[in-house]
Amino acid sequence: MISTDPSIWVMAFFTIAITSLAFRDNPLAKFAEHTFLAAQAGNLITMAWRNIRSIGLQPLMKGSMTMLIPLLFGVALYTRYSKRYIWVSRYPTAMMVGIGTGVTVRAFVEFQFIQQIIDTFKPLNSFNNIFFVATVVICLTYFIYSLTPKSPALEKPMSYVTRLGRYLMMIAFGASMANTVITRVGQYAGRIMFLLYDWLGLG
Amino acid sequence: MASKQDGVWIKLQHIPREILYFLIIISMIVPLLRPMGLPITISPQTRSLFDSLNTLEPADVMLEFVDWSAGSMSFHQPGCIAVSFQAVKRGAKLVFLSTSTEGPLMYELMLEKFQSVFDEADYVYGEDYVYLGYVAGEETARAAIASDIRTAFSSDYYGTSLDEIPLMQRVHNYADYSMIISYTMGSPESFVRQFNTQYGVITHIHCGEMMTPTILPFWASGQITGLLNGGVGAAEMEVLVKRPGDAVKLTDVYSFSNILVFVFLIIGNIGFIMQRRKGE
Repeated sequence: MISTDPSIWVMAFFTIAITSLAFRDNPLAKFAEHTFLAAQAGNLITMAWRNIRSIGLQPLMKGSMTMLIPLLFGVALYTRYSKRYIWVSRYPTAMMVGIGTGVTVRAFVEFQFIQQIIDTFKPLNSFNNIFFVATVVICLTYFIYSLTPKSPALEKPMSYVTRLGRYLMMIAFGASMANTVITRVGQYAGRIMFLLYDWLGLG
Repeated sequence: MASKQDGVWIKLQHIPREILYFLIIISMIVPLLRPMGLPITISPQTRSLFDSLNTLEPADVMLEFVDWSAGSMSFHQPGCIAVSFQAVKRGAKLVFLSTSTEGPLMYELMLEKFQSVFDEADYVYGEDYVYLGYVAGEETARAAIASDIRTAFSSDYYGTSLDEIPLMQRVHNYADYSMIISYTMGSPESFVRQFNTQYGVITHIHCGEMMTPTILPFWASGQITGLLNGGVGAAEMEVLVKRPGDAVKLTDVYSFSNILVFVFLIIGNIGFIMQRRKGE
Protein backbone atom coordinates (compact mmCIF):
# COMPACT_ATOMS: atom_id res chain seq x y z
CA MET A 1 0.00 0.00 0.00
CA ILE A 2 1.22 3.49 -0.81
CA SER A 3 2.81 5.28 2.14
CA THR A 4 0.86 7.89 4.09
CA ASP A 5 3.98 9.17 5.87
CA PRO A 6 4.66 12.77 4.69
CA SER A 7 8.44 12.36 5.18
CA ILE A 8 8.42 9.39 2.79
CA TRP A 9 6.58 11.55 0.23
CA VAL A 10 9.16 14.31 0.61
CA MET A 11 11.98 11.78 0.04
CA ALA A 12 10.16 10.30 -2.96
CA PHE A 13 9.63 13.76 -4.46
CA PHE A 14 13.32 14.66 -4.19
CA THR A 15 14.41 11.26 -5.52
CA ILE A 16 12.23 11.67 -8.61
CA ALA A 17 13.21 15.34 -9.01
CA ILE A 18 16.93 14.51 -9.00
CA THR A 19 16.40 11.51 -11.28
CA SER A 20 14.71 13.76 -13.83
CA LEU A 21 18.09 15.46 -14.35
CA ALA A 22 19.30 12.33 -16.12
CA PHE A 23 16.69 12.91 -18.81
CA ARG A 24 16.78 16.70 -19.14
CA ASP A 25 17.76 19.74 -17.11
CA ASN A 26 14.63 21.16 -15.52
CA PRO A 27 13.50 23.49 -12.68
CA LEU A 28 12.47 20.58 -10.41
CA ALA A 29 15.94 19.04 -10.59
CA LYS A 30 17.53 22.44 -9.93
CA PHE A 31 15.24 22.95 -6.94
CA ALA A 32 16.20 19.54 -5.55
CA GLU A 33 19.89 20.24 -6.13
CA HIS A 34 19.80 23.57 -4.31
CA THR A 35 17.74 22.14 -1.46
CA PHE A 36 20.26 19.33 -1.06
CA LEU A 37 23.18 21.77 -1.00
CA ALA A 38 21.43 23.96 1.56
CA ALA A 39 20.59 20.97 3.76
CA GLN A 40 24.19 19.75 3.53
CA ALA A 41 25.53 23.17 4.48
CA GLY A 42 23.12 23.34 7.42
CA ASN A 43 24.14 19.87 8.58
CA LEU A 44 27.82 20.78 8.25
CA ILE A 45 27.42 23.91 10.39
CA THR A 46 25.46 21.96 13.03
CA MET A 47 28.08 19.22 13.18
CA ALA A 48 30.93 21.73 13.32
CA TRP A 49 29.27 23.62 16.17
CA ARG A 50 28.67 20.37 18.11
CA ASN A 51 32.38 19.59 17.68
CA ILE A 52 33.51 22.99 18.91
CA ARG A 53 31.16 22.72 21.87
CA SER A 54 32.00 19.16 22.94
CA ILE A 55 35.76 19.11 22.22
CA GLY A 56 36.62 22.77 22.89
CA LEU A 57 34.11 24.74 24.94
CA GLN A 58 32.90 22.10 27.41
CA PRO A 59 36.42 21.06 28.54
CA LEU A 60 37.33 24.77 28.75
CA MET A 61 34.34 25.42 31.03
CA LYS A 62 35.50 22.53 33.22
CA GLY A 63 38.86 24.26 33.68
CA SER A 64 40.97 22.76 30.89
CA MET A 65 42.71 26.02 29.97
CA THR A 66 44.91 24.36 27.31
CA MET A 67 41.79 24.27 25.12
CA LEU A 68 42.21 28.03 24.71
CA ILE A 69 45.12 27.40 22.32
CA PRO A 70 43.23 25.46 19.61
CA LEU A 71 40.19 27.71 20.06
CA LEU A 72 42.31 30.82 19.48
CA PHE A 73 43.94 29.19 16.47
CA GLY A 74 40.46 28.43 15.17
CA VAL A 75 39.34 32.03 15.58
CA ALA A 76 42.58 33.20 13.94
CA LEU A 77 41.56 31.38 10.74
CA TYR A 78 38.85 34.00 10.22
CA THR A 79 41.42 36.79 9.87
CA ARG A 80 41.77 35.72 6.24
CA TYR A 81 38.76 37.93 5.56
CA SER A 82 40.81 40.99 6.57
CA LYS A 83 43.47 42.26 4.16
CA ARG A 84 45.39 43.78 7.06
CA TYR A 85 45.47 40.74 9.33
CA ILE A 86 45.45 37.92 6.81
CA TRP A 87 49.00 36.99 7.88
CA VAL A 88 47.61 35.81 11.24
CA SER A 89 45.57 33.07 9.51
CA ARG A 90 48.75 31.60 8.04
CA TYR A 91 49.85 30.30 11.45
CA PRO A 92 46.85 28.05 12.13
CA THR A 93 46.89 26.99 8.45
CA ALA A 94 50.57 26.07 8.72
CA MET A 95 49.88 24.16 11.93
CA MET A 96 47.02 22.18 10.33
CA VAL A 97 49.09 21.33 7.25
CA GLY A 98 52.06 20.34 9.43
CA ILE A 99 50.08 18.13 11.78
CA GLY A 100 48.06 16.58 8.95
CA THR A 101 51.19 15.75 6.97
CA GLY A 102 53.02 14.43 10.03
CA VAL A 103 50.14 12.16 11.04
CA THR A 104 49.91 10.71 7.53
CA VAL A 105 53.61 10.38 6.83
CA ARG A 106 54.54 8.62 10.08
CA ALA A 107 52.77 5.44 8.89
CA PHE A 108 52.91 6.04 5.16
CA VAL A 109 56.27 4.43 4.37
CA GLU A 110 55.53 1.26 6.32
CA PHE A 111 51.93 1.08 5.07
CA GLN A 112 52.31 1.87 1.39
CA PHE A 113 55.87 0.84 0.56
CA ILE A 114 57.50 -1.66 2.90
CA GLN A 115 54.46 -3.90 3.48
CA GLN A 116 53.44 -3.80 -0.17
CA ILE A 117 56.95 -4.53 -1.46
CA ILE A 118 57.30 -7.43 1.01
CA ASP A 119 54.00 -8.82 -0.26
CA THR A 120 55.24 -8.66 -3.84
CA PHE A 121 57.93 -11.25 -3.05
CA LYS A 122 55.72 -14.27 -3.42
CA PRO A 123 56.88 -17.89 -3.81
CA LEU A 124 56.56 -18.76 -7.49
CA ASN A 125 54.69 -21.98 -6.81
CA SER A 126 51.31 -21.22 -8.35
CA PHE A 127 49.97 -19.63 -11.52
CA ASN A 128 48.43 -16.77 -9.55
CA ASN A 129 51.73 -15.90 -7.84
CA ILE A 130 53.74 -16.13 -11.07
CA PHE A 131 51.17 -13.98 -12.89
CA PHE A 132 51.16 -11.45 -10.03
CA VAL A 133 54.96 -11.05 -9.89
CA ALA A 134 55.26 -10.96 -13.70
CA THR A 135 52.54 -8.29 -13.93
CA VAL A 136 54.28 -6.12 -11.32
CA VAL A 137 57.62 -6.36 -13.15
CA ILE A 138 56.12 -5.79 -16.61
CA CYS A 139 54.06 -2.78 -15.44
CA LEU A 140 57.12 -1.28 -13.74
CA THR A 141 59.08 -1.45 -17.00
CA TYR A 142 56.51 0.90 -18.52
CA PHE A 143 57.61 3.59 -16.05
CA ILE A 144 61.33 3.31 -16.78
CA TYR A 145 61.79 6.43 -18.85
CA SER A 146 65.45 7.28 -18.38
CA LEU A 147 67.04 3.92 -19.19
CA THR A 148 66.88 2.71 -22.77
CA PRO A 149 68.59 -0.48 -24.00
CA LYS A 150 71.91 0.34 -25.66
CA SER A 151 71.91 -2.79 -27.76
CA PRO A 152 69.60 -2.57 -30.81
CA ALA A 153 68.86 -6.26 -30.33
CA LEU A 154 67.19 -5.47 -26.98
CA GLU A 155 65.31 -2.41 -28.16
CA LYS A 156 62.47 -4.24 -29.88
CA PRO A 157 61.83 -6.89 -27.18
CA MET A 158 61.82 -4.15 -24.54
CA SER A 159 59.26 -2.16 -26.51
CA TYR A 160 57.03 -5.28 -26.53
CA VAL A 161 57.39 -5.60 -22.74
CA THR A 162 56.49 -1.96 -22.10
CA ARG A 163 53.55 -2.27 -24.48
CA LEU A 164 52.39 -5.38 -22.60
CA GLY A 165 52.75 -3.39 -19.37
CA ARG A 166 50.47 -0.74 -20.82
CA TYR A 167 47.87 -3.35 -21.83
CA LEU A 168 47.95 -4.93 -18.39
CA MET A 169 47.38 -1.55 -16.79
CA MET A 170 44.52 -0.88 -19.20
CA ILE A 171 42.91 -4.14 -18.05
CA ALA A 172 43.26 -2.87 -14.45
CA PHE A 173 41.72 0.49 -15.41
CA GLY A 174 38.88 -1.35 -17.15
CA ALA A 175 38.22 -3.42 -14.03
CA SER A 176 38.26 -0.21 -12.00
CA MET A 177 35.77 1.42 -14.37
CA ALA A 178 33.49 -1.63 -14.20
CA ASN A 179 33.58 -1.38 -10.41
CA THR A 180 32.60 2.27 -10.66
CA VAL A 181 29.59 1.33 -12.83
CA ILE A 182 28.57 -1.33 -10.28
CA THR A 183 28.89 1.19 -7.44
CA ARG A 184 26.66 3.71 -9.20
CA VAL A 185 24.10 1.04 -10.04
CA GLY A 186 24.08 -0.04 -6.38
CA GLN A 187 23.66 3.52 -5.20
CA TYR A 188 20.74 4.25 -7.49
CA ALA A 189 19.16 0.84 -6.93
CA GLY A 190 18.81 1.83 -3.29
CA ARG A 191 16.61 4.74 -4.32
CA ILE A 192 14.54 2.52 -6.64
CA MET A 193 14.06 0.11 -3.73
CA PHE A 194 12.91 3.02 -1.60
CA LEU A 195 10.41 4.17 -4.24
CA LEU A 196 9.04 0.67 -4.83
CA TYR A 197 8.97 -0.68 -1.29
CA ASP A 198 8.75 2.26 1.12
CA TRP A 199 6.79 4.73 -0.98
CA LEU A 200 4.58 2.61 -3.25
CA GLY A 201 4.45 -0.36 -0.88
CA LEU A 202 5.09 -2.88 -3.66
CA GLY A 203 7.65 -4.98 -1.80
CA MET B 1 24.20 13.32 -30.62
CA ALA B 2 23.79 11.68 -34.02
CA SER B 3 21.99 13.64 -36.74
CA LYS B 4 19.41 12.32 -39.23
CA GLN B 5 22.00 12.17 -42.00
CA ASP B 6 24.35 9.92 -40.01
CA GLY B 7 24.65 6.27 -40.87
CA VAL B 8 23.38 3.45 -38.69
CA TRP B 9 26.88 2.75 -37.29
CA ILE B 10 27.25 6.31 -36.02
CA LYS B 11 23.74 6.21 -34.56
CA LEU B 12 24.65 3.02 -32.67
CA GLN B 13 27.47 4.91 -30.97
CA HIS B 14 25.21 7.79 -30.00
CA ILE B 15 22.10 6.21 -28.52
CA PRO B 16 20.26 9.04 -26.69
CA ARG B 17 21.04 8.99 -22.99
CA GLU B 18 17.32 9.26 -22.16
CA ILE B 19 16.81 5.80 -23.72
CA LEU B 20 19.83 4.37 -21.88
CA TYR B 21 18.71 5.74 -18.51
CA PHE B 22 15.14 4.58 -19.06
CA LEU B 23 16.23 1.03 -19.89
CA ILE B 24 18.64 0.91 -16.93
CA ILE B 25 15.86 2.02 -14.57
CA ILE B 26 13.58 -0.67 -16.01
CA SER B 27 16.38 -3.23 -15.58
CA MET B 28 16.48 -2.26 -11.90
CA ILE B 29 12.73 -2.30 -11.31
CA VAL B 30 12.04 -5.73 -12.86
CA PRO B 31 14.34 -7.80 -10.59
CA LEU B 32 13.18 -5.86 -7.52
CA LEU B 33 9.54 -6.69 -8.25
CA ARG B 34 10.27 -10.24 -9.42
CA PRO B 35 13.39 -11.37 -7.51
CA MET B 36 15.11 -14.36 -9.06
CA GLY B 37 17.38 -15.17 -6.14
CA LEU B 38 20.47 -15.86 -8.22
CA PRO B 39 23.12 -17.76 -6.22
CA ILE B 40 25.66 -15.66 -4.32
CA THR B 41 29.25 -16.90 -4.12
CA ILE B 42 31.16 -15.93 -0.99
CA SER B 43 34.44 -14.18 -1.74
CA PRO B 44 37.55 -14.91 0.39
CA GLN B 45 37.60 -11.26 1.52
CA THR B 46 34.10 -11.49 2.99
CA ARG B 47 34.82 -14.93 4.43
CA SER B 48 37.86 -13.63 6.30
CA LEU B 49 35.76 -10.80 7.79
CA PHE B 50 33.13 -13.30 8.91
CA ASP B 51 35.80 -15.60 10.41
CA SER B 52 37.35 -12.65 12.20
CA LEU B 53 33.96 -11.63 13.66
CA ASN B 54 33.56 -15.16 14.95
CA THR B 55 36.65 -14.73 17.13
CA LEU B 56 34.92 -11.96 19.12
CA GLU B 57 34.30 -12.64 22.79
CA PRO B 58 31.78 -10.87 25.10
CA ALA B 59 34.59 -8.76 26.62
CA ASP B 60 35.75 -7.52 23.22
CA VAL B 61 35.09 -4.03 21.91
CA MET B 62 34.64 -3.34 18.20
CA LEU B 63 34.79 0.19 16.79
CA GLU B 64 32.39 0.79 13.90
CA PHE B 65 33.01 3.93 11.84
CA VAL B 66 29.64 4.99 10.41
CA ASP B 67 31.14 7.11 7.64
CA TRP B 68 28.83 6.48 4.74
CA SER B 69 26.54 9.10 3.22
CA ALA B 70 23.01 8.99 1.81
CA GLY B 71 24.43 8.06 -1.61
CA SER B 72 25.86 4.72 -0.50
CA MET B 73 23.22 3.92 2.12
CA SER B 74 21.80 1.19 -0.13
CA PHE B 75 24.77 -1.09 0.52
CA HIS B 76 26.59 0.36 3.53
CA GLN B 77 23.56 0.15 5.77
CA PRO B 78 22.85 -3.56 5.07
CA GLY B 79 26.59 -4.27 5.43
CA CYS B 80 26.73 -2.55 8.80
CA ILE B 81 23.57 -4.33 9.95
CA ALA B 82 24.93 -7.77 8.96
CA VAL B 83 28.33 -7.17 10.58
CA SER B 84 26.79 -5.72 13.75
CA PHE B 85 24.32 -8.63 13.91
CA GLN B 86 27.18 -11.14 13.96
CA ALA B 87 29.08 -9.08 16.56
CA VAL B 88 25.97 -8.92 18.78
CA LYS B 89 25.50 -12.65 18.31
CA ARG B 90 29.03 -13.11 19.67
CA GLY B 91 28.18 -10.80 22.59
CA ALA B 92 30.83 -8.20 21.71
CA LYS B 93 30.50 -4.56 22.75
CA LEU B 94 30.02 -2.02 19.95
CA VAL B 95 31.28 1.55 19.82
CA PHE B 96 29.79 3.43 16.86
CA LEU B 97 31.35 6.72 15.78
CA SER B 98 31.64 8.92 12.70
CA THR B 99 34.36 10.92 11.01
CA SER B 100 32.06 12.17 8.24
CA THR B 101 29.38 14.81 8.73
CA GLU B 102 26.49 12.68 7.46
CA GLY B 103 27.45 9.89 9.86
CA PRO B 104 25.05 10.82 12.69
CA LEU B 105 22.06 10.89 10.29
CA MET B 106 23.09 7.56 8.79
CA TYR B 107 23.54 6.02 12.24
CA GLU B 108 20.02 7.03 13.28
CA LEU B 109 18.52 5.59 10.09
CA MET B 110 20.50 2.38 10.61
CA LEU B 111 19.41 2.15 14.25
CA GLU B 112 15.74 2.28 13.21
CA LYS B 113 16.29 -1.07 11.50
CA PHE B 114 18.73 -2.50 14.04
CA GLN B 115 17.17 -1.53 17.38
CA SER B 116 15.12 -4.75 17.43
CA VAL B 117 18.35 -6.80 17.31
CA PHE B 118 19.73 -4.89 20.31
CA ASP B 119 16.42 -5.40 22.14
CA GLU B 120 16.30 -9.13 21.41
CA ALA B 121 19.89 -9.54 22.64
CA ASP B 122 19.11 -7.45 25.77
CA TYR B 123 21.77 -4.94 24.75
CA VAL B 124 21.64 -1.81 26.86
CA TYR B 125 22.80 1.58 25.57
CA GLY B 126 25.93 2.69 27.40
CA GLU B 127 26.73 -0.81 28.67
CA ASP B 128 26.81 -2.88 25.48
CA TYR B 129 26.82 -0.28 22.74
CA VAL B 130 27.30 3.42 22.40
CA TYR B 131 27.29 6.11 19.70
CA LEU B 132 29.87 8.86 20.06
CA GLY B 133 28.75 11.05 17.16
CA TYR B 134 30.89 12.96 14.69
CA VAL B 135 34.40 14.29 15.08
CA ALA B 136 36.05 16.56 12.51
CA GLY B 137 39.58 16.15 11.22
CA GLU B 138 39.42 12.95 9.12
CA GLU B 139 42.83 11.25 9.32
CA THR B 140 43.99 13.43 12.24
CA ALA B 141 40.79 12.53 14.11
CA ARG B 142 41.31 8.83 13.34
CA ALA B 143 44.86 9.07 14.67
CA ALA B 144 43.54 10.71 17.84
CA ILE B 145 40.88 8.00 18.28
CA ALA B 146 43.60 5.34 17.95
CA SER B 147 45.96 6.92 20.46
CA ASP B 148 43.41 8.28 22.98
CA ILE B 149 39.69 8.37 22.23
CA ARG B 150 39.14 11.10 24.86
CA THR B 151 41.15 13.60 22.84
CA ALA B 152 38.52 13.24 20.09
CA PHE B 153 35.34 12.82 22.16
CA SER B 154 34.51 14.15 25.61
CA SER B 155 30.90 12.93 25.49
CA ASP B 156 28.68 10.64 23.45
CA TYR B 157 26.31 11.87 20.72
CA TYR B 158 23.58 12.57 23.29
CA GLY B 159 25.83 14.68 25.52
CA THR B 160 26.66 12.19 28.30
CA SER B 161 30.26 12.45 29.48
CA LEU B 162 32.37 9.44 28.43
CA ASP B 163 33.40 8.87 32.05
CA GLU B 164 29.74 8.42 33.00
CA ILE B 165 29.17 5.74 30.35
CA PRO B 166 29.94 2.28 31.81
CA LEU B 167 31.21 0.85 28.49
CA MET B 168 33.52 3.80 27.84
CA GLN B 169 35.09 3.60 31.30
CA ARG B 170 37.22 0.72 30.04
CA VAL B 171 37.76 2.03 26.50
CA HIS B 172 40.67 4.43 26.14
CA ASN B 173 42.91 3.64 23.19
CA TYR B 174 44.02 1.08 20.58
CA ALA B 175 44.85 -1.47 23.28
CA ASP B 176 41.13 -1.66 24.12
CA TYR B 177 39.91 -2.13 20.53
CA SER B 178 39.68 -5.77 19.49
CA MET B 179 38.98 -4.73 15.91
CA ILE B 180 37.67 -1.83 13.90
CA ILE B 181 35.54 -1.62 10.78
CA SER B 182 35.10 1.39 8.55
CA TYR B 183 32.10 1.84 6.27
CA THR B 184 33.18 4.56 3.89
CA MET B 185 32.92 5.81 0.34
CA GLY B 186 36.04 7.89 0.78
CA SER B 187 39.61 6.77 1.11
CA PRO B 188 39.82 3.87 3.57
CA GLU B 189 43.64 3.79 3.61
CA SER B 190 43.84 6.22 6.53
CA PHE B 191 42.05 3.72 8.81
CA VAL B 192 44.63 1.06 7.95
CA ARG B 193 47.50 3.52 8.46
CA GLN B 194 46.33 4.79 11.83
CA PHE B 195 45.02 1.57 13.36
CA ASN B 196 46.80 -1.36 11.73
CA THR B 197 50.17 0.04 10.67
CA GLN B 198 50.61 2.14 13.82
CA TYR B 199 49.21 -0.21 16.45
CA GLY B 200 48.45 -3.56 14.81
CA VAL B 201 44.67 -3.35 15.44
CA ILE B 202 42.66 -5.78 13.29
CA THR B 203 41.13 -3.60 10.58
CA HIS B 204 38.16 -4.34 8.33
CA ILE B 205 36.90 -2.18 5.49
CA HIS B 206 33.52 -1.92 3.77
CA CYS B 207 34.03 0.38 0.81
CA GLY B 208 32.26 1.04 -2.48
CA GLU B 209 33.14 -1.28 -5.36
CA MET B 210 35.01 1.57 -7.07
CA MET B 211 37.52 1.66 -4.19
CA THR B 212 38.04 -2.11 -4.07
CA PRO B 213 40.79 -2.35 -6.74
CA THR B 214 42.75 0.29 -4.78
CA ILE B 215 42.31 -1.35 -1.41
CA LEU B 216 42.56 -5.02 -2.43
CA PRO B 217 46.40 -5.16 -2.31
CA PHE B 218 46.20 -4.26 1.39
CA TRP B 219 43.94 -7.25 1.99
CA ALA B 220 46.33 -9.49 0.06
CA SER B 221 49.24 -8.28 2.19
CA GLY B 222 47.28 -8.89 5.42
CA GLN B 223 47.12 -5.23 6.40
CA ILE B 224 43.32 -5.47 6.12
CA THR B 225 41.76 -8.60 7.60
CA GLY B 226 38.27 -8.41 6.12
CA LEU B 227 37.01 -6.51 3.10
CA LEU B 228 33.41 -6.06 2.02
CA ASN B 229 33.14 -5.12 -1.62
CA GLY B 230 30.22 -2.67 -1.79
CA GLY B 231 26.75 -4.14 -2.31
CA VAL B 232 28.07 -7.53 -3.37
CA GLY B 233 30.12 -7.79 -0.17
CA ALA B 234 27.14 -6.71 1.93
CA ALA B 235 24.98 -9.39 0.24
CA GLU B 236 27.63 -12.04 0.92
CA MET B 237 27.71 -11.02 4.57
CA GLU B 238 23.91 -11.22 4.78
CA VAL B 239 24.09 -14.74 3.40
CA LEU B 240 26.83 -15.72 5.87
CA VAL B 241 24.92 -14.41 8.89
CA LYS B 242 21.74 -16.08 7.50
CA ARG B 243 19.82 -12.80 7.44
CA PRO B 244 19.10 -12.04 3.77
CA GLY B 245 17.94 -8.45 3.43
CA ASP B 246 18.26 -5.40 1.20
CA ALA B 247 21.74 -6.24 -0.09
CA VAL B 248 20.68 -9.69 -1.32
CA LYS B 249 17.83 -8.01 -3.24
CA LEU B 250 20.45 -5.73 -4.83
CA THR B 251 22.43 -8.57 -6.37
CA ASP B 252 19.70 -9.38 -8.93
CA VAL B 253 19.67 -5.68 -9.86
CA TYR B 254 23.43 -5.77 -10.34
CA SER B 255 23.18 -8.79 -12.64
CA PHE B 256 20.34 -7.35 -14.74
CA SER B 257 21.67 -3.82 -15.15
CA ASN B 258 25.26 -4.96 -15.73
CA ILE B 259 24.09 -7.23 -18.56
CA LEU B 260 22.32 -4.22 -20.07
CA VAL B 261 25.44 -2.02 -19.78
CA PHE B 262 27.45 -4.87 -21.32
CA VAL B 263 25.02 -5.13 -24.25
CA PHE B 264 25.23 -1.39 -24.92
CA LEU B 265 29.03 -1.53 -24.74
CA ILE B 266 29.02 -4.22 -27.42
CA ILE B 267 26.53 -2.27 -29.57
CA GLY B 268 28.62 0.90 -29.28
CA ASN B 269 31.82 -0.95 -30.17
CA ILE B 270 30.20 -2.70 -33.13
CA GLY B 271 29.14 0.72 -34.39
CA PHE B 272 32.68 2.07 -33.88
CA ILE B 273 34.39 -0.84 -35.66
CA MET B 274 31.94 -0.90 -38.57
CA GLN B 275 32.16 2.87 -39.02
CA ARG B 276 35.97 2.65 -39.19
CA ARG B 277 35.83 -0.21 -41.69
CA LYS B 278 33.42 1.65 -43.96
CA GLY B 279 35.44 4.87 -43.55
CA GLU B 280 32.37 6.88 -42.56
